[in-house]
Amino acid sequence: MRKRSKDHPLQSEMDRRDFLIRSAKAGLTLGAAAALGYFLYDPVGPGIPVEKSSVALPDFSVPEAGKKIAIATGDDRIKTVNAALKALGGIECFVKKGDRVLIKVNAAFATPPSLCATTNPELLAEVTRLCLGAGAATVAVTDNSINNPESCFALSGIGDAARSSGAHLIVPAESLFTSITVPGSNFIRNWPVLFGAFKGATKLIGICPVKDHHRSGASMSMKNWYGFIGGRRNIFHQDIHTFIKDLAIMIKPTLVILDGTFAMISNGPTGGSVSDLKQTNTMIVSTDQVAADAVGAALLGKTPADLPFIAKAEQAGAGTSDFEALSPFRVSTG
Amino acid sequence: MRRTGIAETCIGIFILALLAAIAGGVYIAQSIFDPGFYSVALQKEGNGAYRKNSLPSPGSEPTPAFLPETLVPMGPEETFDSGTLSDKIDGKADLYLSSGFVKLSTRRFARRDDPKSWLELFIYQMGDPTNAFSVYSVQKRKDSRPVELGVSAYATEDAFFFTNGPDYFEIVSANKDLAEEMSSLAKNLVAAEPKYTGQRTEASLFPPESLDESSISLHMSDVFGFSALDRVYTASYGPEAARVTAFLSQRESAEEAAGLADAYGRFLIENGGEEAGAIPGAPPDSKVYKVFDTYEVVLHRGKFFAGTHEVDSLESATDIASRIYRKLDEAGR
Repeated sequence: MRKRSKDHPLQSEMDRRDFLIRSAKAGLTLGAAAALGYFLYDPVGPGIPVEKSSVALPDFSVPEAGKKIAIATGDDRIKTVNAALKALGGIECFVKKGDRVLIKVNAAFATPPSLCATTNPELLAEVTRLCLGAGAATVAVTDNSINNPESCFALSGIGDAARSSGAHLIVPAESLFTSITVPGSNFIRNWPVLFGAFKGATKLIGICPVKDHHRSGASMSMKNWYGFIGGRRNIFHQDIHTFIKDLAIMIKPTLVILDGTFAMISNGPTGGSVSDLKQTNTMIVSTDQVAADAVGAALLGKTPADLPFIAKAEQAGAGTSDFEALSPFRVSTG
Repeated sequence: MRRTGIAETCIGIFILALLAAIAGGVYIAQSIFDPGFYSVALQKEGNGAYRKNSLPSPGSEPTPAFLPETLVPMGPEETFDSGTLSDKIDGKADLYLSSGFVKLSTRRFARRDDPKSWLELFIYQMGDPTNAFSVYSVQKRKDSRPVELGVSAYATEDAFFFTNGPDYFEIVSANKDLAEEMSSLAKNLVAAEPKYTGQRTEASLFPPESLDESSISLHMSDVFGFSALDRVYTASYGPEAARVTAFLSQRESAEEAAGLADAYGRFLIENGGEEAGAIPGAPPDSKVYKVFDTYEVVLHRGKFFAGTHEVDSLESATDIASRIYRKLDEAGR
């Protein structure tokens, strides 16, 4: 024993008591590290649901921009959206350097872009490029599709458009939904909303086509927010106009871009043929979602009075249906 | 117990600090939202869901017998019942659910030599031929051309629509150059089932002169915005510029037909209409209403409830209504 101690001087100084104390300390350290790891472990990942009482959707509007609307006419979406934004002062009035922009598209269906049942991919790509060009730190694109999200993003062309223009896609994973209650809402009460997609976002832009809708009469800017709702949301079709009003008070966007280059005038919201479309050559960009929908109604051959959700949203304070009161900027791209 | 040396203490503190820094880094990293985290499924080429729903993988799925040689399945068939139909067609589900919907089967197919050229087949099982004709007819596209399939069918430049027996079919293409494939697929689908030659309905009682046969539609519920009005055939008469919409519905009894005519008349008055009084040329058992700037003739004859709807010209409204009345009179004898 003594001989081995000479070969290993450190061991020679450790007696039984010393060994037990050191072992206990090592065990405690390991246990503390494991406990800390367990405490910090996030089993769900980013977007973890939080208590419903502690969440509220941010107000993404830009107060200094005020209520504005631009109506650009022409058959080229790239030209009309640029012309409309320019009329409003440029994208820089709404997206600043470092902003994290969330774009809510209509990717409800796994249908080809030609049917205009979903957001036009070229329009999405252009708006993404404009946001990044204005200095946005990130642009994310999302929708809680009605059909399988992966196939919707792929077949609608939205997935490729987002990637090619530098945007991230947020696929509506279960973990991104949080049950929330919207004050003043009739139906969004303790109901799952795609809350995780808003995390970190500083600006929100909605981009959607103008469509006929079998139940609500029209699917436009306000109805587009339906894609933030989770759960068995089809039950809200029973009182769709009130529900769209709820959506309008839940979301306070930076901008809405309502694409009426082609309007789906029949068999909406899915359509099924280009014969359901009418070329209406109009792009509406507005900070007031109610005003945008009031303009869009005419593209479907309707008046705001034909669409009860417009009056309901106006009464709830989400905007004005009297878009002329906003002194619309009207531009033509020739 | 041996006291630890300075070197040991320094090394221990360094390791603990390093561990604390790593823990802090992990904590901060996982609290920062990364949208890319949720797009992984789309970025990975090998992801099953992505491939299944977007690109054809020849040979990986069973091929249905009705599929033309030039097409391959893009993925498995999907089916929807009354509880899940809105997961596929959203707000349009109500149209089908109110018309006896049983089941929807859908599947996408792509060109064997060009995977980006694809189409989707929808087969709606509607329970009976009347229901199937209803959903077929009320969605009929204006810019369409009739298709000779031996059943009720039409096509647009990017889609085929037809009904055979209790089933309603839609073939919707992503490209306008798939007409040949759509035609072959439609023919195969019709050939795969016994051809339904139609049954005699009250629609055959629309007087044929100046009738646009392709305009005949069957509305199953909430017809003309009146909740009590269901199972009504409509048809158009005359040229496009002076169209007259006629309607016809067979009820369970003559009493029901008369009662429905009265109720519909009250509905018109409640919604801004007024009785136009005795109108020369109006058919017997009828009332003429003026609703804003249009005319509405409402009549009943035996078990039939019929008339004309929202007609600009009083003369045209009463003329077509009178012809319908005479036809019903002949049928009743």
